[in-house]
Amino acid sequence: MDGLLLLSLTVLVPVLFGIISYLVPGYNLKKYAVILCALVLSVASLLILYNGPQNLTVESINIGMSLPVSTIIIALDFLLLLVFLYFGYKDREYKVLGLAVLQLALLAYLELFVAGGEEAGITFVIDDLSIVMCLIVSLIGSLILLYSIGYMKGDKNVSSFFLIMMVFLGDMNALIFANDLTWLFFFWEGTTLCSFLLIRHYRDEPSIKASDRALWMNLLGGIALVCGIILIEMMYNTRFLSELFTAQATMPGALSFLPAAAIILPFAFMAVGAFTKSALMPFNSWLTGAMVAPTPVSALLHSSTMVNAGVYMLIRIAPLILIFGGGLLSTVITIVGGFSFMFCALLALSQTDSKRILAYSTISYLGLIAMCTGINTWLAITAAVALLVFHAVSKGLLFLCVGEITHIIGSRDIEQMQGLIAKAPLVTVITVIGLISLMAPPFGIFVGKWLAFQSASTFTQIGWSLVAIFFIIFGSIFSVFYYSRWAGKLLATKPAETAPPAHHDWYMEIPLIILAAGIFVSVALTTIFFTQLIDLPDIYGQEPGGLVVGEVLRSAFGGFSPLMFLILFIVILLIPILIIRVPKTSLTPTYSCGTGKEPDIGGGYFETLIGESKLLKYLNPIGILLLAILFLAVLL
Amino acid sequence: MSLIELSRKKSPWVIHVGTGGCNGCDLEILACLTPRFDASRFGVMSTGNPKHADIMLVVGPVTLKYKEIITNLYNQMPDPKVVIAVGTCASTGGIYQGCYGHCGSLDKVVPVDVYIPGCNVRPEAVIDGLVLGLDILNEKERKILEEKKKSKGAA
Amino acid sequence: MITLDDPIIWKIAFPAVMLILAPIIGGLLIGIDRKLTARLQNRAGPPIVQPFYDVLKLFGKEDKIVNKTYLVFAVAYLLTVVLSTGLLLFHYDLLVITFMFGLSFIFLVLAGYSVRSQFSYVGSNRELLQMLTYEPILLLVVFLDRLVTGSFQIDAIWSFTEPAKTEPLLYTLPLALLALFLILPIQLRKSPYDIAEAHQEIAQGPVTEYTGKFLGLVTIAHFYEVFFVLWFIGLYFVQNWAVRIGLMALAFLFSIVIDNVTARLRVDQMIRQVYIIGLLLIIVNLAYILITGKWIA
Repeated sequence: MDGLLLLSLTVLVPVLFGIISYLVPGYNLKKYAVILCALVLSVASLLILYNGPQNLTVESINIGMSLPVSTIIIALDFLLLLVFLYFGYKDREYKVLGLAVLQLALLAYLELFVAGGEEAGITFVIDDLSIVMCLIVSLIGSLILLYSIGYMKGDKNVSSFFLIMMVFLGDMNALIFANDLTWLFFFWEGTTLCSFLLIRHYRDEPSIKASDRALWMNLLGGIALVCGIILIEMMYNTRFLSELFTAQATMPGALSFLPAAAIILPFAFMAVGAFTKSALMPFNSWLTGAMVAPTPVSALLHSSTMVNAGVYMLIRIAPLILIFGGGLLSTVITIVGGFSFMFCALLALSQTDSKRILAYSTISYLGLIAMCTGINTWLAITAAVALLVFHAVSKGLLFLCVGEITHIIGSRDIEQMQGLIAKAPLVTVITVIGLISLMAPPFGIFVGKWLAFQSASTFTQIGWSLVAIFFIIFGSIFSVFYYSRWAGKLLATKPAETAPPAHHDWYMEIPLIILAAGIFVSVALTTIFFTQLIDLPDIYGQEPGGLVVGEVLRSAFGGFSPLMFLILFIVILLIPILIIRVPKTSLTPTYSCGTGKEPDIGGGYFETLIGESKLLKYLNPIGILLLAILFLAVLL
Repeated sequence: MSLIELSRKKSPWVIHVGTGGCNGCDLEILACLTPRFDASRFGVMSTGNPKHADIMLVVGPVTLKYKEIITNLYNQMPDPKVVIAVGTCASTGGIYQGCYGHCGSLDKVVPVDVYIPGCNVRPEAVIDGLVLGLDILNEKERKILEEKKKSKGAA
Repeated sequence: MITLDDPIIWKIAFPAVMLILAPIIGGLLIGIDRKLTARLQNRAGPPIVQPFYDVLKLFGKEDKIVNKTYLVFAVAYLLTVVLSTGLLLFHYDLLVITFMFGLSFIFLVLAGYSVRSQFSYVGSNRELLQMLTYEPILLLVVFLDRLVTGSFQIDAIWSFTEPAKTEPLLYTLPLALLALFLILPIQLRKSPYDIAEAHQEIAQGPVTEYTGKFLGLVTIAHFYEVFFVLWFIGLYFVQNWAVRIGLMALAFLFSIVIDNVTARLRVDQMIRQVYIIGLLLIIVNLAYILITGKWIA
């Protein structure tokens, strides 16, 4: 099938449907536009998967006359920055204003003074990584769209909500496929704008504040990215990602005062851009602040779009860092990622708000992915891609579950969710599946952690390997802590509790069921996924397919079969579920020293020890210090 | 004797409840577990949890406040179970007999299987009572099974 | 004709038999433990088969149930422990075994959380903190094993066919073994780290609400755990059966003595002690194998 057609199906069609749904009156018509968009998007992503990798060049659009796309995108880019300026001015947010002006200046410098952008090249690349990303964005994104039909019913600003959601998905797809760095930058800033608008959806004080914070932090990342692009064009004389692999690095005269190792400086800038997008440690506050947005937005930000763009970028530049000899830079990325992984898990431990727990756990898993890209061996990159997929499925599911639970009990506090299984069995069971899939073997995250552990123990420098393993171990243990506490709370019922007839909203529940099934399917298909869908650049010397022996994942150090363990896991839980019968006559209340009163139980969050207020004042400076070390590692 | 009946005799787990006496007998029960008297050679284990216990040792007269608690504890013990009234107060009410705020003896609240008199009871007496209770455990289980059979036959 | 040297015996028959014998061995060990503790305190003590009397008795008792969920998790706990013991006996990937053993703890914790009882709630919280304490040490020890043997596979420690070829782990990782001894009381639920099932404070922690046969199942799972933990320690000298069993016996005696001479600690004391001593031991051992060059990249 024509690649161009598929590309426009995944990029332009969501935008088109967004505009349609914005224009048509009435919730019902909008609903159909959204459903249609979700369908088209899923089918298109599957077609892209079926079609396989290819390269595309888009130079101009013909609508009566021929318009060069490059020019349009540059014009839109400046327009975008003007929008940011407008919002900065409107909210009296001077950080946004300043950063937008700076970005404007840098962009103008890039377009006007930096040469090397004239020759034509491949503008969009569909390779295995972007296919995987496209599947995540399109499939999970579509499910979230369907879910938001149920969730947003009765909301005031629902038209603009659907419009932005769909534009966001299209923009994200474009970002994934873009090969031209200046275009990529535009789509990058596009996700910033969309997330900004979605976070301030409710237009009240806290959401405006949170959105402004998200905006300035992401603008900072944008600046880092544009600096990276300028330096790439100056040093490598190309603006295409795919050509960087074969590019000749030369230090331009203007930068000759830098040491020779500074040739990887642009990648350091791009990594910082990726850190802001993925909300890694010093930038974590925008993502936790973004929890004021409606839950589908959080689901979209956390699982399929926004934050994934950051780690996607890291995976993209990881082989380049390897080629141009940035071993030290990789090590620092490992440490930044591992630091976020461990300490965000620790921060999540002290939270009672379910969405904040999920937000911190997202940052922590993104840290793990970033860490894998820092370890930068074929095993580690495989782990990173696998974690990206498995995390997206589980986290998308959990956010949607929290949204539904909030609808049922009117609270996001996990202390209030005690015994929820009696009130809403379906959503609770699905939530527990989601929670277990994030902490226990043999689910996807475990496969990823297993790979990460293996790759960390192949590290050539044994000292850093120990640090990486330290981070992995403690991060995993902390996440087990908060997830199992939450899962247990959901399941705690009184002896004789019976369920009232539950109200079903199928728009919200069908995506949940599909995603929950997706968790099992994705684990069962791990081996196929590894052989077929992960394609590493040649520099790594090995393909993930080499891991797979029959149904077993086997590295040089050991192996296990995800499918077999999945079956065992299901059997272990199904046997008791099917066999155990609870006769009414043997029900007794819990032991409460014979008082017969139901005690208030809860707590154990250690706020005084590891609460946000305690930890963040140390963690943020350390994060900033790590960023400084990142640049020092390149320059010294 | 089946294996389970044998092991039931060999492994009496005990919960010990003080209902508001002078705690003299309490201390004697604890003395049973010490090296000198060593009740654990009969497999006795103090669990502190009615759900795990086979034998409930009750010390002291039952105060009105404790009446509900002791019935709750009794109901939470899984069958077969034995209740032993330890000391004069639990057996008869003792010096609290007829006093306000008391139910008198323990058997007015829950069915009692073994009475161990004494003020205080001697540890030897407690051990003697425990061993008496062991046979009652199996008898009770047999009775329960027979009743189940009967009710099944009736149905 | 199958002889004793036949790999089939050692690869399939022996582990299968051991898996069946594991609960019996574990139960007997607990019985010996109780007898020995009694003798140390100058008591007669219960008979050695007392743990089996206890379990059998529990199977003859009535069930008093709070809800179905926690029963499901109890059975899942037992099955996971059996599975991880099986994986250990059948020489699977050590990393996976460690995580599966951790999963059994997770099931126990979930079981404790899923009843509304203050005792099992507190018990589960403490169980998690204990897991937080011992799991990193265990994983780091596994990592050291991997550094020395070059693989996470148990087979790399000792191949069935040529046992004499490899050096015992004890010679290269003596301090890692000490770190394992350090977390032994946590895994065996013994003093000074029997914090989760501190029966004088919080009834029986996560297993407070079980009665009858489900309590029996949890006890059987505990038998398996004892076997698992000691067998794991046995991996440090697989070359010679006498030394191997001696090592396991030493670990067991060590845990009994420590159990008898120490009082229960608070959670924070446990975390501090285990992390500081354990990490120190591991780092020193790591330095040793790095300096002597006895590691494989």
